[in-house]
Amino acid sequence: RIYPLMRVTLTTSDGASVTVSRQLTKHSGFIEKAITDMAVDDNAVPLSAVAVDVDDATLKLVIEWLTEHRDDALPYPEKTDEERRADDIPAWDQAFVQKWDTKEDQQQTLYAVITAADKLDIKGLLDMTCKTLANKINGKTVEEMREILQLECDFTEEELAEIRKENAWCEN
Amino acid sequence: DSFPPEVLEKIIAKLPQQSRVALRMVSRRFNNIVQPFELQTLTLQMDHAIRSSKIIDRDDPDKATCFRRFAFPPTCNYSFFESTKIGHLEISKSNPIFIEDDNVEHLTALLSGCAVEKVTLVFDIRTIANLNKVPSFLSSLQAMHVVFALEKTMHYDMITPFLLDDFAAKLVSAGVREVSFSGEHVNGRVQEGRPQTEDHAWHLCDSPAFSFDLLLNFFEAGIKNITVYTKALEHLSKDISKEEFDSFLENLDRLAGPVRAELFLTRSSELWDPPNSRDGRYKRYDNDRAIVHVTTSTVKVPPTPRPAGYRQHVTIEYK
Repeated sequence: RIYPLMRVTLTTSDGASVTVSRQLTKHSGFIEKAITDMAVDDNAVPLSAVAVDVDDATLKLVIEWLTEHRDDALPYPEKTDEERRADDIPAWDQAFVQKWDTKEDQQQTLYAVITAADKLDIKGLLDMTCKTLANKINGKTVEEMREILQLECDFTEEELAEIRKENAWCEN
Repeated sequence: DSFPPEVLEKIIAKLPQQSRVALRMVSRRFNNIVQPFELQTLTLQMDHAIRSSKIIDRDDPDKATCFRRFAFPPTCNYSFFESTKIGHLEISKSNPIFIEDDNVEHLTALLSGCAVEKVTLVFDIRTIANLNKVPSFLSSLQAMHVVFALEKTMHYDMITPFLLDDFAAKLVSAGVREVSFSGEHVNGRVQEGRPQTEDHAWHLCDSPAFSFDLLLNFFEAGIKNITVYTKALEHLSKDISKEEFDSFLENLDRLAGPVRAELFLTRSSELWDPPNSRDGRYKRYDNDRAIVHVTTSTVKVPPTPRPAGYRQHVTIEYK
């Protein structure tokens, strides 16, 4: 049982400390495991600090998302192949991602939040941010995808020709 | 580029096929992760015309309703893919490729490089004797789930071959852990009708109402999950008696390890105790060593010209 008033202190990779409710951290598999491994008294307020490999700015965004989603059901439902769609992001989450100002900042922040959600094992946030990135890539040309993903082409011309040949059967 | 592979896989899983194809050309890392292509279902069906073309579903451009037509048996060395994963390889019940002659060898060559999760194979009375070719075929595909679609089970004994030559043990050695049986109507070639002699008449044999022995044989060999659809292992002219079912449960209780069976049983009225709860659970068998949960629900099935009785969906979980 998680008591709403129970608190846990998180220390970030850049040295900041943030104290949050266990009601929020219960969505993070990483933090919950860390608390369990510490074997501390559940009534300790706040709990001993849990170190997270996430910077302060990104952690604040993660906590903002967790606050909005604090009442989401757990465990997060696993999706089958047929249910894996990217067009069902809730309106609040869409606005949450959109407010990350300029295009470049948005991209960098999105990558930082995806990485944080993965490290902290927050399945709902990871799912939403992966959908956001998939939506950005979907329908783009190869060059546009490289620009979004900030990647250089590391193929030889021969390799690209081989992939084009392999891809031919599944292009409409 | 710093995302771990499992995160990239999550992102890729949310993209339609066309974007995945384009993503392969972005960088070596994406090319490595996007490969091999994964197909949810690949259906093989015999046809007369041979044409090399692909037909796309207009409503769903990701779906190719026909990927390729080819000569069968193949006239040259040919395989569908260099490397791919297939969720379900299905031999169509309409114009099926039966397991006969050199077909298994041809199919093995066509599918070399493919890892398949589930395989549906079609057998009729002419081909059921070729069951022994199945384990090595499934092993080559790394398949864990096989569906046996059996033609005309009401007329012929399609079950005995499954009990011969340690077939179940060979399936398990091949890597199979889940088996389904279905009784099917197969289109495409003229089949024998009802048996001409009583020697082969399944419905005249002194056979049990349901082949519980087959289930036990498969569970004992190490199959963990069995699903049996109607008209597959049942003797349509007989109702399953309470004694038969109790005996099956008692034998199931002697097995080690968890097993699960989903059955569509034709029952006689005395098979089940009256319902003792509203959630559809009729009976619970407890003893010192294990618990077998038997959950049933009535299934709507088309009316059949058979004695009074019910078909019920029965889930048996042994843990």
